[in-house]
Amino acid sequence: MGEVDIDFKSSVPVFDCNVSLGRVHTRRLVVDSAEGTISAMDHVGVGHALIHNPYGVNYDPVHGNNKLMESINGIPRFIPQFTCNPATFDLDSFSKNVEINNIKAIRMEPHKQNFPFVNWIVGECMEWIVNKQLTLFIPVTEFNPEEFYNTIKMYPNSKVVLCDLHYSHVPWALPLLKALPNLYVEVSKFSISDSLLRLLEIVGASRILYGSKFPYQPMGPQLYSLHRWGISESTLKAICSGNLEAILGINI
Amino acid sequence: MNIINTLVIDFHSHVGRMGNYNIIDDMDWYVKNLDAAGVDKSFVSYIFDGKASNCNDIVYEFVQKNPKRFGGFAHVTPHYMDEAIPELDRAFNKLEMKALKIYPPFYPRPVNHESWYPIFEWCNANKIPVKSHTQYGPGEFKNDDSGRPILFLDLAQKFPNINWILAHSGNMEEGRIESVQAAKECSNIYLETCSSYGDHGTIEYFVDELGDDRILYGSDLPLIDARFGVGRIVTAKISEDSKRKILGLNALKVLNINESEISI
Repeated sequence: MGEVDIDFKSSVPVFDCNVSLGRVHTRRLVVDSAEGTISAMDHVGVGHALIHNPYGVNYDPVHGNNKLMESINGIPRFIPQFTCNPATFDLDSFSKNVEINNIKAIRMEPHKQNFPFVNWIVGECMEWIVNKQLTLFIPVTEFNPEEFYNTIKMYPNSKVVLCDLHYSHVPWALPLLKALPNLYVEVSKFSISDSLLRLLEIVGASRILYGSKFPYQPMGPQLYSLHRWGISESTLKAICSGNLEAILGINI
Repeated sequence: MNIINTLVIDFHSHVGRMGNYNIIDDMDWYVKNLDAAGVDKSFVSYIFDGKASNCNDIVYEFVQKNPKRFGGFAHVTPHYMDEAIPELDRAFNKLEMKALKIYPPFYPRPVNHESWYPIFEWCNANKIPVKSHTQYGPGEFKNDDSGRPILFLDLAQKFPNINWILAHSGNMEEGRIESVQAAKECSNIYLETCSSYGDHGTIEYFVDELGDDRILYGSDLPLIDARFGVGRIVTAKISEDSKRKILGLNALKVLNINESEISI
């Protein structure tokens, strides 16, 4: 009979790099509070989470980032990620806010924020991100691949994490990861068969990051799956937390 | 860690090459994937050839290579109704298929439109389970409304000898709500769990609303790795008994088979 871990909890430290915290106006999420998020983290052994605010992604980054800091409220297991719109924001004040709050990760969602990911829009912001050694997170559903490729290749020292990769993106996203060595990949939705083997072959273990896309997905399934690939404990640890710590330059 | 042995039956997987996703249907590879996930048996279908008999031949040939680990679900289409009924007879009486898989978005009328009825009448007369792709909600898949879950309420009442399995359980939140509503009203409706869209708490929602007797584990292999789907069940906040039922015990009842026919 099938062998399963019926009460799974991670055997290695976990730092989830794709968690949303807060309400949205279009539906009632199963979890929209800090307490609920921590309960879900504890259930499967997630120690820390990189958190963004959905209002900042969908509407106004300034208010969204303020809401983010309010909801995190000093909880040390939550690491804040600021959202920005380089087409409309004031870089000076955004930069100050990033510094004050010790932000290490920036999120862009160009389609939702109505701007193309092209250098004449995002160039100044990209230069700033590189200079400040920040990491940019961007979902694969949020840009035109050709525009993205042409822009990112101009910033070879940037650290960029592709989020929400799904099997439907395989034909172009895997070649993109191969073509740009400064790209990392977050695996919350990447559950195509042989998913981890494909990524290990194309980008190597050091560029793969565990993320859940919580609360739009549970934290457990991908974490459970990662524990069932027969990879070494050091590789598992790197994917689940070490790689993210390294690119953010923090030690949890 | 609490490793246990329990029956795991995958109610939703596919065979056939999918070059668009760089997937090949190699038997050894499937078995390795099932072993890693702890799956005893996987029921496969193929739905992408316009000639349904070709689909069923591909499934049959695949299953015959390893019938202990794989079983077949047949496919027919109302586009060619003159072929559908003879093909159902061949699929279930010669090719040993265990259920019918339908895909309403391939057809321009809702799944409860009478043009589907000859297929369902045959299944009803022969007590054949029918598994259908279901999806409903916002986004780019508007054709999927032809198989929205609430339509199966009508079908489950009209064709009571069929066990109706809602693949993906409607996928999005709107679809999941309809799936639960339909299943609550008709005891011959079952929910199957594979999805690219399942929110946190989806499995718990199904169990809270419906109980644990009519929920079935599915993988969507090879589009979704079998480990991921098992992970959705075992990491849900539900009882161990519920996990065991969803992972495999419920499927025995739907397919009317014994555990001895499955266990490896």
